[in-house]
Amino acid sequence: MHNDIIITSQSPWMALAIMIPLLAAVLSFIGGRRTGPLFTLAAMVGVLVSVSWIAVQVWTQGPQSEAVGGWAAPLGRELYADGLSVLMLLMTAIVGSFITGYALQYFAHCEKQASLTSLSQREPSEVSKEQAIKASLPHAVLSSEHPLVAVQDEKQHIEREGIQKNHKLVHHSQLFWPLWLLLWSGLNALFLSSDLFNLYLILTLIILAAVSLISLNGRAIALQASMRYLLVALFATSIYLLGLALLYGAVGTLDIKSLALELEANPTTLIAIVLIVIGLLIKTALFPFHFWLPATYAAASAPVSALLSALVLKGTFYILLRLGFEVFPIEWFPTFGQLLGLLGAIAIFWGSWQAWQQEHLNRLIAYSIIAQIGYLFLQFPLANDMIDAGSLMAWKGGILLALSHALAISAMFMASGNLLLRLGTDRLDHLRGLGQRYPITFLTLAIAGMSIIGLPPSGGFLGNWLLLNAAYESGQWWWAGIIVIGIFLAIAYIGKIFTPVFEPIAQSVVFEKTPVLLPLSMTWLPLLLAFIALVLGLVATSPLTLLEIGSPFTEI
Amino acid sequence: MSTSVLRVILIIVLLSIFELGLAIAIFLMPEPTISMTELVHSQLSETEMTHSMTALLLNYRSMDMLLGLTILFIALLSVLHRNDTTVSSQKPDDSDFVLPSLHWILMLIVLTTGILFWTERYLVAGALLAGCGVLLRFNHLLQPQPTAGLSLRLGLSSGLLVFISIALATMVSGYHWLEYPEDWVNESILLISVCLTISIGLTLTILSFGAPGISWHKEK
Amino acid sequence: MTKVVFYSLVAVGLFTIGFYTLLVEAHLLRKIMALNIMFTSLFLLLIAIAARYPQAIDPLPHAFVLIGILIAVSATALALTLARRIYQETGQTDLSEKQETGIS
Repeated sequence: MHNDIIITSQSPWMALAIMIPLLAAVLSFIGGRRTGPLFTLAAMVGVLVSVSWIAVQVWTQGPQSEAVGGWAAPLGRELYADGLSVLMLLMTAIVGSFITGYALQYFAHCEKQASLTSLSQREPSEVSKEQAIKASLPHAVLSSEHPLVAVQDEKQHIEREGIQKNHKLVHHSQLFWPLWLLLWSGLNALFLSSDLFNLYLILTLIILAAVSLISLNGRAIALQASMRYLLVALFATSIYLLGLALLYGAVGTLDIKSLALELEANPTTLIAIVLIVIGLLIKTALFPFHFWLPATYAAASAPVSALLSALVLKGTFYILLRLGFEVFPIEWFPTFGQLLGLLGAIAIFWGSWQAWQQEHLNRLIAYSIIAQIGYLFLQFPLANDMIDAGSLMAWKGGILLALSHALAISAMFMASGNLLLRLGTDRLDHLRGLGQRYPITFLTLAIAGMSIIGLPPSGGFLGNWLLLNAAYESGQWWWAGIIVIGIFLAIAYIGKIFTPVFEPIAQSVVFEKTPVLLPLSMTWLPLLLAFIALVLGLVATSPLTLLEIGSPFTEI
Repeated sequence: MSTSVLRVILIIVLLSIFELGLAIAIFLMPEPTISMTELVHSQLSETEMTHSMTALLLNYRSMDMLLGLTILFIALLSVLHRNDTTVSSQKPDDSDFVLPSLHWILMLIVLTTGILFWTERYLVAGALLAGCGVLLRFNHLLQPQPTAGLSLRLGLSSGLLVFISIALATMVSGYHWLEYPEDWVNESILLISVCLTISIGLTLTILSFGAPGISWHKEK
Repeated sequence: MTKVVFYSLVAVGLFTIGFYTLLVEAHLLRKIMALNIMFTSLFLLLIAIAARYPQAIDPLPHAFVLIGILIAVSATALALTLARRIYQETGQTDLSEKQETGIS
């Protein structure tokens, strides 16, 4: 049929990974409010199966490419999967499944709490309520003719308000499922995409879904945080689109493969690429574009923060990886590399320092993300030379850091969410002496913290070690120094979480409102996730060899 | 001088540099190395469509259309959040000039929509339908409702549903993703575009209303 | 070719004006409008670029712009809904921070 264009393979799994969550989201919308978790669990199974199949295919057959609509690039779109895409897809699927399980319990717990408080507010205070109504009776009489009708109206009004408030909470949490499914679909599409305009659409999809997720719990702080994030993210995409338009004008195509071949270095393309990179950097929250992150992630509910920090940030980072190592002309590598590395180093220092100063657990974790993102960008100057083994090591190390970071940070946010539900606050000094009371939660924080610091045998350790090796091989010893300093800074701010925890309880000061019993899975799921991050360094050989499939580095 | 004035001056200076850079980029723009125009037009006969832009959206780059529909869907979900809408019970205003001539206006809109549909400009047709919906809203003939009924939900998601169903069906028969089977190109595109237009029209109407549901005014 | 350059410069100028408004104005509606101006200017830039070829008009940017307008509408709708919810919860129409100290 379309015989002038060569089509490499025909496999439905890539398309299915995108369409299954999308279909589930639409079906749960039609099916009504209660069907969310059901469709999500079905979609989760479907996506895990599809992504595993894609992994198997890439492992055995090499990079996979699927022409959408039967039209190959540059006319049509192509779905492209190589080692890097597969790792990102697997990371999204695994972390996403854990967060789904956690979110199921989290929202069920919140609903139960909401209905409990409304019940306790209604019955015994009937007497006081009648007194209140009688006190306001003159006003009621003025506002309607019959006094009895007025009293009835007041009662119904109060009841209706109570129901409405709970209805609002329940309503909001039910919207989590279609929004998360749509976000998942967008992330899968991002990791399989190979065209810059396609990526623009996917980025907007992810932004809108993320904004709606942040605003889910309806509190004023969350609404303001989501508005701020929306404005910043839309602004970043407009900068990205500006770069796209200029690039298209200069080159004539926006397909990554064609760009890799055709991109020449001239002023227009340089400015265009700089704009595109800046747009992506704002969304990845690299210093100095990180300002939106702490307030946003600290204000959202725990599952949402986990999703955003673990997965969404990695999405734009992935695009930067593709651009940086496959599309850029070779002449730009050194300057871009050193510049990004410099920003990464500043991010490590600034983020760690700010994290160390925080009084609230959620904000501490949020600021620490800025520091950890700085680490991710250190691979750009270290992977400068596309040929030697040191560059390959740096690339692998950076990606391994990204993977273990996703696991660890989502575990931390989930554990912190557990603490928040139990204590009603996340102030660090209120954690005093609670180490024996909540051993599993603090163990989770500790193990995740070990991966973030980079202690062996965690994924963080192996990633840092690979980067240090690359720094030694390429003679850029100053990056090695920064990595080591960063490790000590991480010990400082992670340690700050734990200093009040293991003090013995002197007096019987209890900061809990009432004894809150969380379902078992809410405490064990994050622990498991953190444990995976911990042992990732041991089992990393196969993922790292998977990375080599389709990698842009030529081996000697 | 106050700090806010200094801040504004700083912003203006930085933005001027920004603008200058962009102007340089435009002036020095080279001739593009790849030209896709001929490619688009040469393959146009295979798509059996006459309008190249719609062919791009529904055939060459149907994934972009799918993503656009999904984004519209997400915006729709955010409006459904609002459970505090009060149902307005205002009656249509007879003294306005619009209401007596309403049936003429509606006929014109339907005619134009039909023409747009026939010349394959589906998105514009959907937008026109939405504009019609907003017009009816201003006349209080269409009222916002706190919840969306099943038929409305089906209508809103019909575009996405049909798109995905056709994609799944063709994939099962061994085609590429979003590739139309040879004998059924016309029919599938027609089905998709009808649902697309309805879906986009309804979604845009709901987005403009800001309320989850619509109902017709009770007493006409 | 000068037609293309002229419209491109206009588009870029509009983008900068929108950028300025986004930075300086505090009211949420104005910020949303500023973003709209920026996106619309980008559409103008794309259409101008589409007119580069002397023989025929490049249909690709036109398709970009069509989908782009659809997306800009969705994003604006979401932004407006959010702004309205903020107003209902806080009574404010800007993002000045009242409660910045974390959760409790």
